[in-house]
Amino acid sequence: VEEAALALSVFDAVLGLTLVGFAAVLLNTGDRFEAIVLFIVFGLLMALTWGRLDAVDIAIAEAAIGAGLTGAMLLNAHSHLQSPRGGTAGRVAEGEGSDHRSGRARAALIPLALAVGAVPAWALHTASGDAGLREPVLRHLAESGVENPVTAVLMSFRAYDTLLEMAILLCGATAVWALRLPLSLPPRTGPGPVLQTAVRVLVPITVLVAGYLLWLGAHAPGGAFQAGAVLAGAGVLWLLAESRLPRRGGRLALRLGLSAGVLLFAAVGLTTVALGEPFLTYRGERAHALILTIEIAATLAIGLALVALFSGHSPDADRRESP
Amino acid sequence: VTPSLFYGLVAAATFGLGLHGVLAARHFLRKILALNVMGSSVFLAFVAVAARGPAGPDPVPQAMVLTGIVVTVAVTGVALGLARRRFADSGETSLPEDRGVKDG
Repeated sequence: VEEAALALSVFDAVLGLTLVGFAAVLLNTGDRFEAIVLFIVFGLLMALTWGRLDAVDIAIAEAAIGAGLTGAMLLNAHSHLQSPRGGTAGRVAEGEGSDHRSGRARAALIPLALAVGAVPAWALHTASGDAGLREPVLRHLAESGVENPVTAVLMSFRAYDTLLEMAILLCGATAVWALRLPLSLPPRTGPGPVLQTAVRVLVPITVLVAGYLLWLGAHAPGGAFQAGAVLAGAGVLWLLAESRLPRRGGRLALRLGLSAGVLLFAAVGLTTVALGEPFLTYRGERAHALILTIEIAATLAIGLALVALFSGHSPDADRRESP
Repeated sequence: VTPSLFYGLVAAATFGLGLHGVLAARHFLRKILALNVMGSSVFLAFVAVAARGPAGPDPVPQAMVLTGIVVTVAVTGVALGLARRRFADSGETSLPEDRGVKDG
């Protein structure tokens, strides 16, 4: 195991200690906004770590989702949890002075955190040098229809996981819509010409990058998750610049797009059953085309669901709230 | 010490920090941030274990982490939505239980 590529370097030591340091500071800093910004930097450092650990697929997803979209969602929520609106807001409840518990309570929690943190440390230290499932995956890679082993696992060998993940995203978007949050889009006059022009240039390029990542996923790091996340970035930017919800005609299209991933995935699964194979089993020649079709629908659904989670509004919100 | 073990220990330390953060925080945003730090540390442990073999990384844990990242962002979105709903209804940014208020 002592190969050059696997030797611990100064880079590792600095990166690892920086990760721990950032986590400690972002969780304990006095300012909430600062904590969110530090979290975004923490996400980018994680992306760097994935690259170091030969997980480029995850690095792309982390940079786009973990740091990018989660950061945007946190900043959006931060502004809404701060500006008091309406009669009841602004009331400070009893004992709600601090964001954290009292110093004594926090100190009492330290031994618990140490004890729980020691369990995975001990488990990893004593773990065997088992090579895991790399060999079986590579042995059957040709059957999957794609050449990137991670995409093969996601779209073929463990397609169930991905189907259920699409369902979770749909549930999440539906749950946020059901919360009926107060309307919060910035006023129509908000964005200036700079943002409008930037969006006009950036959105087409971002969509192009998403398409490229989607196509690339078959044989190199990339795929539906990364493409969907990049697409969602374009969607969020568009939402901020246009600041209006889809028109009536777009609402059905939006709902169809949101559920496209689950519907198409399930339809393919049921088709394989009708053809006499187990659920979601596709091999050989038609596998590549099927995976690409599912991934296109999944990219669209992931992108739309992430934008829906960011905005927090169902497209019917303006109809409900308009005076 | 191999990089796999080293990053595994980093993951364990970050997990402990995140757990402390979830329990010590009152404000919704702080709790959600800490939950995300915990999640990242679990992913780091998975990928560290996947990087153990000399031949190359194990794609199965990597695929599971990719799924996990997307699930985490969905959970974060719903949690932030619930926090905003709570704030709009009551003006509160934490739960009465966390403030030590009885019969909130």
